[in-house]
Amino acid sequence: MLMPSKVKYRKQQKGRRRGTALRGSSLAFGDFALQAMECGWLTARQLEAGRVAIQRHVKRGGKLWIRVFPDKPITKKPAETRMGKGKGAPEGWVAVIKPARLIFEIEGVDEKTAREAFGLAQDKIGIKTRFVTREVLESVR
Amino acid sequence: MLKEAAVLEVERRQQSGKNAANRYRDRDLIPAVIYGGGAGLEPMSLVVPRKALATIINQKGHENSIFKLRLKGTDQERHVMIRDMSVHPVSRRIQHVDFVRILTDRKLKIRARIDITGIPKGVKNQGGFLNVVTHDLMIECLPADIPESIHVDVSELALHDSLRVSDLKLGENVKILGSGGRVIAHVGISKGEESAVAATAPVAPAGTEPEVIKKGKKEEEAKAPEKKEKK
Repeated sequence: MLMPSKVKYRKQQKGRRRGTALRGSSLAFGDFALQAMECGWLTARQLEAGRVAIQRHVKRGGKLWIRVFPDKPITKKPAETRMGKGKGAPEGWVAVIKPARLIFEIEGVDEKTAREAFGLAQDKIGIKTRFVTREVLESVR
Repeated sequence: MLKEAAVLEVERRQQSGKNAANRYRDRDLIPAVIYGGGAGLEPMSLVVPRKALATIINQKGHENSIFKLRLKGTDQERHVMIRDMSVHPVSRRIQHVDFVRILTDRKLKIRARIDITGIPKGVKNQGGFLNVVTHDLMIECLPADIPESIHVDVSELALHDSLRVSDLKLGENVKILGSGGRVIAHVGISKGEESAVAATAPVAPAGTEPEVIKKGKKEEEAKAPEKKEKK
């Protein structure tokens, strides 16, 4: 699973997720992408499950880019523990997602395959997402 | 291209600021600005009807399309181009547009889209996949010579072959800016699942904690004895 190799501090505060993603909201590498439509935390486990689902579907064709990185540590207190006595132990890593953020990008496959692969990944990811192409991201209303 | 230019009717913007801009947007008008066109011409704040602007932009090859702006209530017309545009990342609604005045006899530096055609030999016969590295190029040309897109045929590319900027031939009127060695497209082999992950990010086994950078702690430790001594 993805996680940082070195960190400055073991634990972080929760933070807030206001507004939309400004960076990472346009296609940089591939032709198709999975775009977040709401904010949330994407765990390293969810990202890995999504990646495996996509790569199993496209088999050896295409190239996949993961556009987010889980660099935020999440802590948890042990079960049946009284409140207080400090912050819990680090338990996992999450990527902070804001609306419009691209999560996966793919290239080298046709639109139908990409749509099916991202459809499988959508089920593994706990936030609302949509399939986007270069045309969708360049169109305006 | 210039002869068939579409005409967009615009109004002078009387109010400025965030609240005024939002009020214009509520009335389906997009705040805009026009500038450039040589010395002596001042920038002007405008409002543009959203639907008419979106129609022009959504046409193919919109990035470099030249059209006319007509100031409402006057006969004043100007050839313009969109230099910059703010779009809401989720709803794709236009927030603001920058127009630049075009002089027909002066060369422009613009970004032209690359249109890839054909299926490479390396994909058809050798099981490779096409990796398009560059999607647009900076070019310099007169407004009348602006190409809608740069057509690139990749059907001759075999496995591990690359197509570079220097391989393109766009004619005498269009000059490509930047390095000629830049790769446009490459036919490579798709890596297996595991190797693809290794290429994207560092991977660590689940449950382990990363190394904590101890620079901060050492400084604290060095300062701590000093405090004790003072006491």
